[in-house]
Amino acid sequence: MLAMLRKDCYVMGKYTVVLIITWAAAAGVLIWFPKTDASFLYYLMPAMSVTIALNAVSTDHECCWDRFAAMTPLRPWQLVLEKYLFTYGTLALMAGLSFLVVWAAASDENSSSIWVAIVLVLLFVDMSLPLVYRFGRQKGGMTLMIFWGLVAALILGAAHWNYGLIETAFGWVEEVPAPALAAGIAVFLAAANAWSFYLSVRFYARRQRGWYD
Amino acid sequence: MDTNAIEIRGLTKRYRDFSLEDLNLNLPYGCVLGLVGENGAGKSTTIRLIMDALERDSGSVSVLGANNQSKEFLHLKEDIGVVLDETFVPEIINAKQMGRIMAGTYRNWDQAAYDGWIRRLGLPLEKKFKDYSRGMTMKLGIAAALSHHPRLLLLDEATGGLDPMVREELLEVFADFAAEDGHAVLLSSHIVSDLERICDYIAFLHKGKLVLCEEKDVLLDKYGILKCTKEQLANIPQEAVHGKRVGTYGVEALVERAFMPRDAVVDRASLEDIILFMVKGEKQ
Repeated sequence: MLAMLRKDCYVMGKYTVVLIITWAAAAGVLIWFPKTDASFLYYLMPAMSVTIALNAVSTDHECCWDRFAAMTPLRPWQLVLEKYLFTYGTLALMAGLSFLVVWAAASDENSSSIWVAIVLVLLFVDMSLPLVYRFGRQKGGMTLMIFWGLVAALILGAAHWNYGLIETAFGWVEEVPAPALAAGIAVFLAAANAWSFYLSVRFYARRQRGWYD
Repeated sequence: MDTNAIEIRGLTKRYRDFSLEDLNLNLPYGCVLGLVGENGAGKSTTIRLIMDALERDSGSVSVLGANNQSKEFLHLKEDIGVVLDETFVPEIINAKQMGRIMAGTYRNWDQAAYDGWIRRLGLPLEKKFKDYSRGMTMKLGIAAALSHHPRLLLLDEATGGLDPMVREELLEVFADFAAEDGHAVLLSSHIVSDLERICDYIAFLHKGKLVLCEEKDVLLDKYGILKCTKEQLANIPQEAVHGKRVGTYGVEALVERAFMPRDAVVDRASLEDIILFMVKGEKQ
């Protein structure tokens, strides 16, 4: 599995360097121009790590690595687990760099916004990896866009129709003590990750064996 | 130890527009089996099915003494070197990095052997895979396949794109490999002359069906080319003729020597002749 992590580091190395340069530029803006309203950058950097993970998956598929891997002693769950670990690794790197900027910029921005970004990225990864393994990068991406489009339409529609409904649905979050909320989110994320991993292994193994050809 | 490195029984795989039907094949230890057939005949499908990298519809495959759907086979994959027809390395990777990746993939990986193969095949260590020619790609695949001390080599069009000198050298390597105790090679190729040079057995796939599977020497002894007139050919028993080519001055036919009259002059048929006549030769 370490060999596969090594491969993804080789493959995505340049891409990651470009992201880190982008991060450095963003950090420069936040540190030297603290009055600038650039707080979106705190969300942006962890979010960008998703693109590294999805590109790593699609590169494997495009160059037929998956087909070769099926001939090696590596098991589907090992190959999929490596992709999840690689994703967590890049997310940790980008989030770590973002925390560094918050600290260096002595920004008013609370680092909790980075935690929100991390949670959203993890949820996004949990949804997107199984879809990409099942449908491929293009179809998987489209399926995801349709899903999020429907969710957004549902929330906006509900807000337009009856805003009280939204308050009822999400208002309780503000009532919950912070530690309990954090613990709840952690448990939810762990369950979502486990379910996502299970589906990804299932879809990957089937794709490898030509089920979707 | 069993006598066969690979045993395939009634193997069937159906796609919408193609099917590999009821394949039966043996590859004895110590031998090279040449799998020949046109594009889309089912050679790559067969190799993927042997490695259980593709869902089959029916049949069974035993590799190195184990059912290829058993847990035991997962460990046996360590002992099988595979070279695929298609590129499989991400284009940004070079031969040096490839070695490091393979080192973590196979427990038996021998870095010194890999370095030796890279030098012997003249591959640049630092050149990225995207700048490789087809021949270089194949060489890298072969270097990787040979560097984890396999017992069985599955080579899918592995000699394609190689220059004649390197091809010659590698064919010798494959033949020497097969001659070692407990080793075997399955080599699929379009280049029938390569197969004729090193193979002990020839399996010919045509449109997903196994047309013939014989020992090469038996095959070459069994068939011959008869040059005669149409009238003379009409007097030959039908079951002896496996294909014919009608020209301006007469007829060339692929015939089975055993059925031929003693006075008939039958020339030696090459493997390529046998295959071409069987596929393209107009049946009597």
